[in-house]
Amino acid sequence: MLSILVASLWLTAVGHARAVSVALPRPVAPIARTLGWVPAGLVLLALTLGCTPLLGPVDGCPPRATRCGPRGTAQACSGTGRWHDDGTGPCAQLGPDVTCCYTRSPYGRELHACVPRSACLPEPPADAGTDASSTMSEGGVSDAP
Amino acid sequence: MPRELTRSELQALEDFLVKRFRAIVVAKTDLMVMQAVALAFGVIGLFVSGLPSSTDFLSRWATTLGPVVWMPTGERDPLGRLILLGHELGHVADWWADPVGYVRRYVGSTELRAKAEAQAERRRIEVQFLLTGTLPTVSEVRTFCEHGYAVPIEAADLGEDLVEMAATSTSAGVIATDVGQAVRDWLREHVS
Repeated sequence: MLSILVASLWLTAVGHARAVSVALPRPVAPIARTLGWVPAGLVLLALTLGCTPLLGPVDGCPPRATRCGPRGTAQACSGTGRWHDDGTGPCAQLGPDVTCCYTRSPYGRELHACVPRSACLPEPPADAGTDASSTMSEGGVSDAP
Repeated sequence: MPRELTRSELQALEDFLVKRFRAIVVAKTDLMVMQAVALAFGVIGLFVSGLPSSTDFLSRWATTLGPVVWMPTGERDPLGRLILLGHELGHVADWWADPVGYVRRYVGSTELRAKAEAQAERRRIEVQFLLTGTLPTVSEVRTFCEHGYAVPIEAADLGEDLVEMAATSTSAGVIATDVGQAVRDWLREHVS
């Protein structure tokens, strides 16, 4: 936790110092003001870090499986059995014809991703899963398309 | 296949991106400074475990802490530099979105660190695709998390799955990230 506190404070200081150097001819006073926030920041950060877990509950999904989540996001299952969004948000927000669906990657694996509808494949049977280890092939596309 | 940008166009695009994502880009010239900074972050293990050699660390690896991007000294090709910068700007953008939470997730969970790296890598993939029409090779995708991020194999698998999903979307023309969309918009405006 100490390392996180130090890191966060350093990051904050960098951000402020940059702004100060642009906006003011005398940076000493603003930097001092910035440092004045350190104790309050420490307390706030410690409370934040201490109260919330980093990872949510285990979903029990098979590691390396993929799916389209409830919000229309593409998700992958981690080694601890948790679903993780791909970070883009709902696929439908990425374009008028974009959707989350089962598709083929340029490397030959079949998985779920945000793609145009024309790239979608039929969803596999539920018990087949989309376990990467069974579908990834060294013989797939080995370089850019 | 997009038109190849001139050196001055690549520089103009880099300047635009650095300003747009409020990054500070500096050359990675001093290993001692980098290690001292890493130590201050309590994440020296990340760098040590990913260091093939100190020379490689300085000449091939970019490092981002907060809004500051240390670019490797060995990357002299402006196109390669810009593609690499796409990844690092992803970290900067995510850090600005939630400075405390981002550091906390990155340092506190290998699973979330792999996810953070995959989301940054998605920016790089999109920048590469927009500028060159190419994608990472299959080996680059499958070993993406194995070097330098100090994550166990299970977390590396998650990162690599997310990167393959990103490459799949990108190859289908879906540009999803802030950095990718900024590059796409800049190209539309400045490159006929």
